[in-house]
Amino acid sequence: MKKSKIIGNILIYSFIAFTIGYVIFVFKMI
Amino acid sequence: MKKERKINYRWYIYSALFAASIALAVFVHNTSYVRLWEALRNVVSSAGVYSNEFFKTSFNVTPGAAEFTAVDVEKFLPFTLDEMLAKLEALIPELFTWENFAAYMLFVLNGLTLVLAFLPIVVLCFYLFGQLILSSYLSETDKQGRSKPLNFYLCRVRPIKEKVKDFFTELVAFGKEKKLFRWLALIWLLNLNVISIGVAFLAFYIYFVACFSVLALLKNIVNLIADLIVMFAGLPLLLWLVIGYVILDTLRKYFARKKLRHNENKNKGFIKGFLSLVNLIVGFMRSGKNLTETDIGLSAEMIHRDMALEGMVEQWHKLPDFPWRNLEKEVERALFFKEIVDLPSAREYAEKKRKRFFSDMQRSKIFGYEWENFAYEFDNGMYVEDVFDIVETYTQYYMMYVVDTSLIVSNYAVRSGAIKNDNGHFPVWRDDFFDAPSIRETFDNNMSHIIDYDQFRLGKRVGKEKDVGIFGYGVALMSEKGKERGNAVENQHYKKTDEDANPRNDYFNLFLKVIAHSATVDYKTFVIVVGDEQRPESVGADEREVSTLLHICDREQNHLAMPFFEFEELIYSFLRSKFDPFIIEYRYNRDDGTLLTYLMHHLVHKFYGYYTRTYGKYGYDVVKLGIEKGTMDGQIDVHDYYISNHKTKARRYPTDCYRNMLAVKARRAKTGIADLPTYRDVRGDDDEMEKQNSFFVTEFQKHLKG
Repeated sequence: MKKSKIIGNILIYSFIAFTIGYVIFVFKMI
Repeated sequence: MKKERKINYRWYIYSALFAASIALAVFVHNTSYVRLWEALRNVVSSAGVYSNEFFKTSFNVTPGAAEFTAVDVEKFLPFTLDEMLAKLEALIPELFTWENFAAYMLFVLNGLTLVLAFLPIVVLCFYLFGQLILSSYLSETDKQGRSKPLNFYLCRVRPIKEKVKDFFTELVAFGKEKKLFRWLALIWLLNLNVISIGVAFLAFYIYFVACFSVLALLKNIVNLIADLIVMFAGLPLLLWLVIGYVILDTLRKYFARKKLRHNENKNKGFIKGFLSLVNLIVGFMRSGKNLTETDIGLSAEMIHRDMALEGMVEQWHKLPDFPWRNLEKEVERALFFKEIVDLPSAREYAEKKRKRFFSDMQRSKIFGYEWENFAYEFDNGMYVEDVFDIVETYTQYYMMYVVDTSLIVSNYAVRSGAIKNDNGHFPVWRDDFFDAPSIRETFDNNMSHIIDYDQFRLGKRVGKEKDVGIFGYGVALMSEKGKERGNAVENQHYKKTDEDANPRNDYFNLFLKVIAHSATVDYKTFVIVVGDEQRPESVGADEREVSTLLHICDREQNHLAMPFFEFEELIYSFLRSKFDPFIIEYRYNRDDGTLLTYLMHHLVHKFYGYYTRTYGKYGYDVVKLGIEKGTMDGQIDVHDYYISNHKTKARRYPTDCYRNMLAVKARRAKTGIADLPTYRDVRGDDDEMEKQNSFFVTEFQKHLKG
């Protein structure tokens, strides 16, 4: 697998984890 | 004397596991069972609501699926159910406020700061490990054999480790053999509230279909969150991480196989839609011509079988009452006794059956078909076919389908990927491209047939045998086609009137032009010829211009069909980048074995095996194939063609098919490169130039001396 594809995919997973984390964080906060 | 019954100790271990699971169900996970009972009651009440709504019954039911769960789950939750419902209702607008986003960013940055605080410590540890500990292993030494710690590990520790590993391997195998895992899994799915979640969803679904209630939807989302928290509270976090990884691994392998199968279907679509009957793959040396040719051949073989099957199914639809199995058994018998060997003999066989029937008109002469009571002919809107027209078509299809041999003829060996499943009824073919285990022995596998070029020659032939016949149907693979056929320049010294066979008088090209005629059944053609050559001009224009040229424009290697493999890639890449220079340096300086190096090497070995097997099973190349007409008009359409490692590189064909022939000539000299003389200086002298046996040098020297 190309290095650029690995880094690109990890960034996508990080973004998804960031979004899910945000939803859970707001749910707990309100 | 009584024979002592030896009880397998594994039964005791599994009994203890079952007892522990049931004890935990009673004393720890009892909430899940209460919730399951509530969910089952909700299914019944939802069914009552559904019946009242759609069948106008009048059951007196209180729909539990519309309310919060009555089970005391709040002891597991940080909030009450009412608070959770209020939060859910307010969630969407709160997601789009700057204050919440800023608070989250602060939270994330605080977390990152914590990680960054530990990072220098981790980096320092790695650095100290590398500089102080590993570098000490790189000092030159004359020690031989194994170090004492390594000896101790191999003699005392490793056998214990192997015994423990064997113990658990046998325990797991025993559990699988006695089907104990499914019962254990069932108990734990109940313990962890998983089955309750499924049943609660069913109850809600039945209710929701009858009463579209948004409030009920929200309450059920709250119930689901509560159920999930109960589920996750049932096991420690570490165990959930392991289970999560196992589930992720299973899912990603499933998606990988799906993707490889999809790529294969795209390849088949490409072969059916864009390739002609005669094709030539062109590309530089080692660009993957043979690889692509083999892949196309393997897929084309399956396509021919699929086409034959489709054709047979169509005949079934024409005469649904015909006893097809009787005809099939007779065709199989005829194949066994060589009454049917090819398409012409299959047609003759059907014609013989027709004549026998018309001389007698008995059911036994028409395969037991009740022709008086059922359909005798089929009108397809263009022409009418009678039973024996359909039987003739079917006989040809079934012959091509059932023959238990590779459909590939080639000038290099190809291990076929077609596997026949036959349990005495209708046989079904499948391929072993993606699901088969790693191949061990290739000898005696289903191999391709040795091509006899005389079967493609309508004129003079090379061999002296008279009963060679002509190539009927199948897949013909011809590597290095230009070297076999030559072009006009290379063949100019041959004459058509020569006594011996040559490319001008063998009418090979003529046969290729009419090859479809001998391989067509019911307007479908069952032949494809694929060759390869480095330059398209190496093949004569007469043959090349009726071919489709497939240029290998590019080949992207090492794609992976399995998703979510990035972290393993990074770890593997890191390990190899650090360990490979270390082990080379280590072996340069010493010959002995040490415990730390042994352990590190085995860790890398485990990762290497896992990484290599993943790419072996799920890796693929993307070949950019440029399609051009054989007239070489310059119009090239580029298409992607997918070559799966497990399909085509699993000892499917020899990439060096002429190796043995070249080796015979090489071994005559009994010398190698080390035995060749070397130049004495940067500028060669006359003696050294003469040793080259070069045409140019000989000519040059002749002129200089003259």
